[in-house]
Order: sequence, then structure tokens, then C-alpha cells
Amino acid sequence: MNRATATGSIALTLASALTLTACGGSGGAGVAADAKQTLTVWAMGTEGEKLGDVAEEYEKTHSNLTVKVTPIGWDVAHQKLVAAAAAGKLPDVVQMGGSYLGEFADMGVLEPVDSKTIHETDYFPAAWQQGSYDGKTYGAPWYVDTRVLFYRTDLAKKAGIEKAPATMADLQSAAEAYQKKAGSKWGLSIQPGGLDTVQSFYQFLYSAGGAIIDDDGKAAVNSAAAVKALENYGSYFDKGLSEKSVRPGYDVTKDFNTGAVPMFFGGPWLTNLIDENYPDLKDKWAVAPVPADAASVSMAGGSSLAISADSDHKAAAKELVAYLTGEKGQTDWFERTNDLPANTAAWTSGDLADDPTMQVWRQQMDTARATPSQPKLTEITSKVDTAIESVTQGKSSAKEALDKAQSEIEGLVQ
Amino acid sequence: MTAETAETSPKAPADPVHPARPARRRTGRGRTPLLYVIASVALLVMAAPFLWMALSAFKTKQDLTANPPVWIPSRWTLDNFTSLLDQLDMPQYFLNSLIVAVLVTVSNLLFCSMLGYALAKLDFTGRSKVFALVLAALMVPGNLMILPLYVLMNGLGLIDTYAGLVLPFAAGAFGVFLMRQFMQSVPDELLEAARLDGAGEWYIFWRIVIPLVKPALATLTIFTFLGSWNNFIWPLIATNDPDKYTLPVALATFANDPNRTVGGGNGMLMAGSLLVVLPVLAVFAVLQRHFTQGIATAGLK
Amino acid sequence: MSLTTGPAAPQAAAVDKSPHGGGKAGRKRRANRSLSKHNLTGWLFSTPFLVLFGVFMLFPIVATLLMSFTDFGARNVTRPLEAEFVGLDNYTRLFQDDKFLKALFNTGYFVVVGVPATIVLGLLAAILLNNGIHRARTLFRVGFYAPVVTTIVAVAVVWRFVLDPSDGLIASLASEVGLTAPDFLGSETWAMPSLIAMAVWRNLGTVMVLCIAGLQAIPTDVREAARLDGAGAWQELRGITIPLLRPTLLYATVITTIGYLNVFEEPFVMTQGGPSDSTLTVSLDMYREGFNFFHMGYASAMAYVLFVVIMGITVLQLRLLKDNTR
Repeated sequence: MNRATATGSIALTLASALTLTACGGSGGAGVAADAKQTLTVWAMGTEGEKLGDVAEEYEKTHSNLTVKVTPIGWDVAHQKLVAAAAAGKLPDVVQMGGSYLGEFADMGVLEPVDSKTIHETDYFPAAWQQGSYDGKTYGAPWYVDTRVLFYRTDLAKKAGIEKAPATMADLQSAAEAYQKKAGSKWGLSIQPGGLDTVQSFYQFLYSAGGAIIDDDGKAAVNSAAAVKALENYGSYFDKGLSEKSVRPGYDVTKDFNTGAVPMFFGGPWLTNLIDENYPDLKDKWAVAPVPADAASVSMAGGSSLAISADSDHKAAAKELVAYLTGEKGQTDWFERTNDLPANTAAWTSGDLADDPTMQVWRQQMDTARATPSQPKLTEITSKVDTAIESVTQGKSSAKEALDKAQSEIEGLVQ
Repeated sequence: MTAETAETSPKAPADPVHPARPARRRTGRGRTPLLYVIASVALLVMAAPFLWMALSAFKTKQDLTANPPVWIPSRWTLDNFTSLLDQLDMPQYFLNSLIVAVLVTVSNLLFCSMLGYALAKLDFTGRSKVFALVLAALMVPGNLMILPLYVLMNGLGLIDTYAGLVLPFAAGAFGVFLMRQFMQSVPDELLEAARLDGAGEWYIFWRIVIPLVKPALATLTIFTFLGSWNNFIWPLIATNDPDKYTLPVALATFANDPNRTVGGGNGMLMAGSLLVVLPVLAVFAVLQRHFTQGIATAGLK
Repeated sequence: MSLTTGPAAPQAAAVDKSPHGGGKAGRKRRANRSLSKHNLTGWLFSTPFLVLFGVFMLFPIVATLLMSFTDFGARNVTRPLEAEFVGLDNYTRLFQDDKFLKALFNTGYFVVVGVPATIVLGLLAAILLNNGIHRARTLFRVGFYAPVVTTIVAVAVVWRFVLDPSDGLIASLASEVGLTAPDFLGSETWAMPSLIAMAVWRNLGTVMVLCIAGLQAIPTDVREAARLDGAGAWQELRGITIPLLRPTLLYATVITTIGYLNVFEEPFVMTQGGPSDSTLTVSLDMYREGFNFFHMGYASAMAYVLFVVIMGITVLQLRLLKDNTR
């Protein structure tokens, strides 16, 4: 048997295996937007539950529609989406975390967004970029997420720190001061290793002017800026300012409350969580932009909404997505979830426009950098995780670790 | 008192020559309270996490995040349960879980005992091959089969149906192997005697063998029910319609949610876990009573 | 035929012989009849399992096996035809993959230490609760079984609290007596033993239940006879309990071994394989390769290597523990 026939026969068996129903043909024109129909929507975690309430409201103004929202747990979402994609069973509308989009777009299961109703200029640049892959946009930006510095103001006074650290050098001297003068056990909480360590490294990497994949789409993780950032990151562990071993599921807010950890980089949802869980902590903490190195650049996260390429209800789905990502839908969503709106128009009124804390988020979001849309993103970032861990554990220099990661990542970038 | 002391005491006076004997008796007597102490300490170690879960379900947010952690809630609250019932359609999920678990358990009891009996007691051509297949099925790492199985079930139109949740587990290899092991203790003489009396094979299986292996059936019921009740990955993948979600799948929508893992969500998760676990513990508490002298007494006399 | 399983075996064997002692013709006829009859019944009794296996398991097994010879990746989810046949590449790559070899070693460590500990403690718990404890038996049994049913999330929360190096239970106990507890989950030396302890704790309830059920098959008169002969507790255990429990112990050992070779949940929730891959197991590695990175071909090859390892060990166990109907 020559190679071609071997490939052929294996592929055929696999094909019959995996496409028992996968090829349903992509729905053609489908059903008109105002016809009677049921839209299926999958969303993750809290978003999934809250979206159910929005769907009920939406049905009231669109009496021809039944919107069925299925909430899915975050940690299992990927597996479920892959299985659904394999069987051609993706829902009409699906929430796409930034790290999935490249992968699913590459599979060809997502419909490009409708440029007539969704306009790039309405959204934060990083949010738009996250929904794009290979020159096309597949996800309409839904909500965004970034990291800023959370710090204890009461302990700062004790430590003689007068204002939030503005530069990376300030950050480290603040960490030292907290530890020496205010009696904090640690200076700053950053992740020493394990899955997604890269999320706490992004602040250092991007602010130093580095990136994992540069603007030309090439691996660039061993650039001088990246090495400098990782050296800086590692120095917190060498100096005993950050804990060398942190368990998965570690809840930083607990240690923030006791003062063991006076500073950490956190996401927007923590604001309410700290207020609710630790009422005694009120007025003893604040948020500040990521301390600048070359600049102050944080990571952008969040999710977009995508429409399945196989959907028979694209017209109605587009209207729903346009509503959810439009100004009105975004304002309503913020009130329900506190998720940061991706649509900048929603930031012009209410709390989003006035509240000083919200302005910190806004400011950080304007410059935040999106994770690159790559089909193998999870694998790429896992190589960076490994590099960071080997540095924080003192097993390798930043340069060596990143050179190794660079050579591995070069083979994964598309 | 225990059977042990009752048995040894009449013997002792009859055997005054052995110096070791009275000493043994004393340890025998003294051992019982000691055993209870050991067992109680072990019980504490074993059950602590369960207690933690049960107590946490009634804690307020303050207690849940307290440092150092508190075991006994400073204020007992049902908030976790009410918000859980508020957000999830628990009765529906409970019903789904129950239907699936009962169907899986019943079919396993029947099918696994049948094959277990055949493998242990019936000499038939190809028996060792069937047994090898059972063992192979036992050893296949299941995680990776999920994707092809999903595609298959989708092709059969079984996604979002109870059948889709039950059938792949209706005759588990673990159950077959378990029943085979227990059936081996059934005395052959009984079967032969019944055959001589002209009893049919089904009659022998159903009327003679099955009653003899009640502890095994109780064990299988516990394991299968628990397995089905806690089964997570497959129901997660095989149901897209929330109305068909089972309890663990529904609960997983909270777990590891970045918005929930810290702080208040924990209480709801604990409340949910408690609700999930209680029925299984109840099944266990009821069935473990059936761990009584079965085969030996009934079989030999 | 079975000669060694039950206490009744010797008698059964004796009885077995007597009907065959009859006239030649009668003997032949009966042998014929029962043989053919057992063939039919044997296969009929096997049918439900075989049908369900054939419909629901065979296809996934074959599909995964085929995938293990291809470079099946995320793209091929919707375009399976484009998966390249790569022969044994995945398998040869596996054995040059340091991560996988480390995972294989870690899994072996987990099994070698964990399985004997689980079986011994489970058996002791069963004997304790079956023979020693009479009052509040249900409470004890339920309590010992609780770890098996408690959801892993709750288990993880409590075990983290127990193992925490700064204010955990063990750390505070150690400091009371002037010792310093290690950073259990953060140390490459201690992380694995901690996970093993947790797994033993979680699974001994299952072994206990099996053994309690198995103990019921041991007639009280055999025990009584032994005691009358002056057998001590240890002799009773070695001479009667263990031999008569052998089918049960064999089952418990085999399923515990298979379970531990597949160990996934403990490292997944407690350490995610860290620190520095010191608790990365084959199943966890396979999960990552298969579902996080979507190297389905590579992960399938891993699954089959694991399958072969499990098969080898199980066959060895069946041999060593003298399974009797082979």
C-alpha cells in the first residue's frame, strides 16, 4: 500500500467516523429575521445565566422569537464547543473567549460579522482585534476585561508610600516598603508558575514594549524588551517579594484582606467582590493603572459573540448580536453584570462616565493589548508559562528560558 | 458484648495449662474500647471534608472567607440554598439525574449479573475471549473516546435524550467483572443439583444464584448509582438543552467561573454539592444493611 | 473449574464428581447436554453486554486508534479527510518526549505507592467495621464512605486547608511541637506524596465496601473453628480472611490499579501537574494534549500506550493473584 492510498483509507474511515452528520451544508439563505423561530445561544458561567434574563426581555420586543440560552461552565466550555463543532451542532450564537476565537475561526465554523451592523470604530481596538482572525472579523466584541493594580492604601501610608506606583521601578520599591515597613508578608502577588501564568506576566511584558507575537505575526518572545520584563518579573521571587509557590485556585482577595498581600494585578469583577465579601476593607484600597515601563500597557481579555456558519437563523441571530453589542444593550449588560462594555459609546453615561475607579479601567482599556488570535494560542502561551516558571524557580535565566520558548513557538505560529 | 469475648471465655477454664490464654483474653476484652477509639479518630479524618462541605453550605459570605477558616458557622443561613434554587431549576436537574441513575443501575444489575454469572459459572466456548473483551473495555482510557462517541450519538439522534445518557453506561465492564468475582463464591453443587432436578438455566440464575449474591448486588447498586449520579463529562457533552442537564452539569456552570470561584460562589457550590451528595449517601446507608451473611449461610445449609 | 474460590469448593468438587460416576451412557449424554446447553446460555447471557459494547464502544475505540496514526488536529474537527497519515510517528515521538516520560514515571510512582496503601487500609477498615465495631456501625460505614461521594471541589478546598504551608492544619500541628511542615504542594518532593495520600483517603472507602461485601461470604463457622483452634487475629487474617477474600481482593486491586493508572482529578484540581511537572500524570498530559492543544492524534497515541501498560499490569496481576478461570 503506498502512502497516498494509506492516507486515503485512514482519512475515509475517519471521515465516515466524524462526519456522520457533520456535513449538513451551511444553511443557505436560511430563515428570515421576522419568521417564527428559536434561536439557540451558548454562553459561559455567569454570563450564561444573566444572558437568560436579557433573552426574556428581548423576546418581549421580538414576539416571533424564542431565545434559548444554555449556560456552560468555563472550565469545560472548550471541550463542549469542540464536540459540537465536530458534529456540526454549534448553536446559532456562541460566546467566544478571546483564546478560542482563532481556533474556531480556523476550523471554518464561524460566520464573519456583518460589517453593515457592526462597526470597528465603535469598539476598543483591542476588543475588535480579539474577534478577528487572519484579516477577517468573526466575533462581535461583547465585553472586555483587563488588569490593573489593586493596592492597599492604609498599609501604603504605614509604609511611607504616598501615591500609587507609577513606574515599574516604583512598583518594586513599593513592594519592598510594604514588606519592610508595613509588615506585609509579601510585596506583590504574581503567579510563579502553572497554567496561565502568562496572564500575570502580560503586564510586565507589554509595558516593557515586548509581545509574544509581534505586529507582523512573528514569534518575538525573546526580544530584548521581553527578556528585560522577565528579569524584572523574576526579581520579585529572588528578593522574596512574591511567593514562589501558589496553588491553583488560590484566592488572592483573602490575603489582600489580611494584608499579607498588599498589591496584585486583578480584573474588573474583583471590585464588587471585595466590596461584598470584605466590607471592613472599604476605603482601605484602591486601583491604579499598571505601572509604566516603556509605557503602561495591560492585557485585554473578554469575549465576543459569534454566529455559527451552519446556522439557519443567521438573519435573526445578527439582529440579536447587534442589539447585545450596541450601545443600549451594552449599557443594560453593564448594569446586570458589571462586565466592562466593549462598545465605547456605553462609556459616555452613568457610572461608566463619572466614577473615578471606572476611569482607571477605561484608561487602561484604551491602550490594552489583545492576545493574538492564533489557532494554537493555548499551546503557545503554555510554552511561555513554562519559561516563566523556570525563571521564578531559579532554574534558568530569563534569556535562556525565552530563547527556548521562542524556538518552540516559532513552529506553532500561523 | 462482642462475639469474640463470648467465644473465648468458655474455653479458658478448660485450658488452665496455657499461660498465654488468659493474657490473650484480657487483650481481647481490652481491645474493644480501643478499637472504638481508633475507629472514631479514623472516622473524623475520613469525614472531615464532608463535614466541611455540609457546614459551609450554611455559612454566610463572611464566614466563608474568614481567615483563619471557621468550621462552625457564626450565623447559620439558608441563603446559599435559596439563591441556588433561585438560579437553577434544581427539581428538574434532580429528576433528570434520578431517571438516568435509576435506569443505569437497573440495567447494570441485570446485564452485569447475567454476564458475570456466565463468566464465573457457565463453561462455554469463547468464554475466555468474552472475559478478555470485558477486561479490555475496563482498561480503555475513556476521556478520549468522548469526541467520537459524541459524533456517533449525534448520528443516532440520541443527543439531548435520556437514552443517550443511559445506553453507553447500561452494561459497565466494571460491573461485569465485579459480579464475576462474587459469583465465583456460589457453590457449584447447588447449580448441579438444580440442573439434575431439571431446572432451566434462567430459573437457576434468577431463582438460585441471584438471591445468593445480594451483598454483591448491593455493592453494584452503590457503585453504579454513585457512578451515574456523579458522572460529569459525558452528560455535559451529550446535553445541549438545559432541560436535560443533570445535577453535576448544572452545578459546573458555577465552578471555576472566574467571577465565582473566589468568595460568595463557594457557598452556593457547597450547598449544591451537599444536595448532590445526600441522595447517594442515603442510598449507601440503606444498602449497606444488606451486607449480611448471604452466601455462606444460605448456600451451605 | 473453580476449586479454590469459596469455602464450599472442596465439597463442591467432591459432589461434582459423583454424578459423573454413573453409567457410561448416562455420563456421556449429560456431559453433551450440559455442554451444548451452556454454550447457548453462555452466549445468550453475554448478548446484552456484547451488543451495547459493539454499538457504543467499538466505534470510538477504533476511531481513536486510527487517529493515533494521523496528525489529527483542531482543523480536522470539521475536515477529517485532511488528516495526514503519519504511521508510527506519534508513537516514536512519545518516547522522545521528556514530558510524557516524566508523566509515565509519575504515574508509576502514584500506582506503586498508592495501590498497596489503598488496599491494605481498605481491608483493615472493612475488618474493623465488620468484626470489631458493632455499635453505630451505619454511622461508621457512612463516614468512611463519605470521601468517595464528596465532590472533588469540596475535597480540594479542605485538602488545601489541611496542606497549606503557612496556616494549614498540618503546619499548625507541626509548629505546636516545634517542627516546620514542608510546603506540601509547592515542593517537587512532597507534592506527589501529598496527592497519593489524598487519593488513598478518597478511594479506601470503595475497597472497604467491596471487602465488607466479600467478608459476608466467609461462613462464621469457619472463623469460629479457627478461633477454637487458638488462632490469633493475625493468623485468622492470614489463614482465613485473606485467602477466602481473594476474588474480592483481586477485583479491588485490579480496579484500583486501573483507576490510579488513569489518575486525573487529584493533580488536576490540586496542582495542575506542578510544580515543574512533578505531579503531571499520563492522563493529565493526555487531557492537555488532546483538549487544550487539540493534538488528537498525539493524545490518542498516548491513550494507546497507556492502554497497553494497563493491560500488561492487569494480566500480571491476574496471574500473580491466581485468577482461577483463565
